[in-house]
Amino acid sequence: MKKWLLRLETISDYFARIGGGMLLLCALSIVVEVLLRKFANYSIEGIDEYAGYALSIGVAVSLPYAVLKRANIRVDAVYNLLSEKSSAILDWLSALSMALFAGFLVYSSYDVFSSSLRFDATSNTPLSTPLWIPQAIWFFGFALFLITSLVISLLATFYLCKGKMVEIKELVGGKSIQDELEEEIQNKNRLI
Amino acid sequence: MLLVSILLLVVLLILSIPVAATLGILGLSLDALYSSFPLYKAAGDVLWSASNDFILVAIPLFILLGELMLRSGIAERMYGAMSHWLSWLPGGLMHSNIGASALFAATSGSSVATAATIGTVAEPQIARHKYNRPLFLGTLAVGGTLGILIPPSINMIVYGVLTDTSIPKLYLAGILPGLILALLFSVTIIIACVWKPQWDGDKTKTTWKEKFSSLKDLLPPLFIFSVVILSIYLGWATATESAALGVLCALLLSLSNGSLTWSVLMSALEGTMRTTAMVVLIILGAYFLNFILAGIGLTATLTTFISGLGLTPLETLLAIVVFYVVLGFFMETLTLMVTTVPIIAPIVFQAGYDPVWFGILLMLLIETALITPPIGLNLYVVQGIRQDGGSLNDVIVGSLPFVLVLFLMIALVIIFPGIVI
Repeated sequence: MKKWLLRLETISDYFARIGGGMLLLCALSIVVEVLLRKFANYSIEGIDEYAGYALSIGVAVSLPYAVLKRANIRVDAVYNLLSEKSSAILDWLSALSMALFAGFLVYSSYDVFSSSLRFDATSNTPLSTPLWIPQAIWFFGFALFLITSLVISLLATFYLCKGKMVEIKELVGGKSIQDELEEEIQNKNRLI
Repeated sequence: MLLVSILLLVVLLILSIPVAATLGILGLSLDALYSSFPLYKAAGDVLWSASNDFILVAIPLFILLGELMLRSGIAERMYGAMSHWLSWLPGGLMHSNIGASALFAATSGSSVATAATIGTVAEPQIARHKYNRPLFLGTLAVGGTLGILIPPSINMIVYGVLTDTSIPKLYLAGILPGLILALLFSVTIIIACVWKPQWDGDKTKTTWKEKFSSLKDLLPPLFIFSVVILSIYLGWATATESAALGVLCALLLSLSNGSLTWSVLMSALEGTMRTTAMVVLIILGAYFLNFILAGIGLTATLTTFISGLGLTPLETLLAIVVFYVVLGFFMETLTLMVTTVPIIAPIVFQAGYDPVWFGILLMLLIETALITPPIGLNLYVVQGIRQDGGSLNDVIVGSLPFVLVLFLMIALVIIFPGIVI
């Protein structure tokens, strides 16, 4: 199980970079479009449409990375007051609920993708993009997110049964601001 | 129905279930409890059209812009330059804290990144120049919040998307109140330091030569900010397009000062996607929940209930201000926005208030939430960078005058709506 998690970490790293790279490319093409429109009175069709697809896909494929880096936003007012054991149980619950939500996203995105494929749906723009293509990748991202959340949940359940509370915290525990700051500062020192 | 919804939301949040999952699970449960036919089956289309909205593309682009500024050292040099220009004022470096945080947060949108950058450079100066510790820390905490009001602000994009309000209009409307607020913060520091001169640090002399040679460090962030704002103001670009222009400028600037390496770019991209994925996931959860709330008729029930109370528009507005101040004590700000805005905003609009104006008022309320205990993100961030191991109370006490200034500003915006244009 642990090996799976490590493998997922490597994969999710690449996907986050790809997602980010896609959006960076979008940014550059948007700039080109703005400049052409302003100075050459020429407009490239569909940049905004494709940037939209890049966003939905980029977000979906980056979710495994975000969840593995424990970037979840949680309200931790009460959580912080609890003992190690109780807060570990909440962490476990949080992992399960994330998997549940991921399952719902997979269900919904599959539904959208499969009906576009069935009805040959195209986008309502001059490009008439066949919608199943971006939607298939979107669905794929959510599926990867579900797999990641399931592996995390299983591992957390396993730790819970063995009473390894510290491990649960390391796996899903909410990051304290202190952790985040230290990471931020380390990053800075490493790079500058 | 209303009571069950609120109760369920509160329980899920108290259990510290991730906010995105909370919204999704709440939506699914309400659907199962109150809808005569399963609404969730139609959710896919809602999620798809929400997630490829071109307006939302602005979020990752502005985050990337901030990441690039942070990792290329532009922000740190900017603090140095600000201190050369502002240190003669009573309160010295504390004005640089406000100014540099405002300018940096204005281009990045992340409080944690702002505090980690500006705070780590500024904090050692307290001991070196013998500043009053609480007040100095307070300026760091409050400085970061300015980024919400001064465009480009991620919170404004979220508000604009949730209420269908023009984001360029919000951006332009935020500039003047943002500047007035920064000015009020500075005036507060001056008053404090004239009243209690021992709170001020020692003065360092800066020659005009140093001042002018430091200008080159001030120009890059000013340049990026102007490109982003002017392209919107002149009508050349939408919010998303201006973000793209900003990203290009940041790339070129960090290329030209030699700080853009492959590993810097990759870590900026990873950082961007980490934040973007979670923020957009929460927005998707909010869209889904709103779809369900509208479907089961809760939104309409609540609006009818409020208008049935027979409050005057001003009373409604004041009740809502109090509501946000109170919730702001306890809730993280993005969560606060996505759970309340879709329900509260229609009530305010129905009472006859302008969506752009209310957007700015809401940003001020959110700023207040960031520095009011017990849950005020910026307080903890500033506490986190301290090296002296003092108590959190210092930061809270030091931020207090600025909380009052924020209340004053909120009152000003309500009494003189003309500030927001």
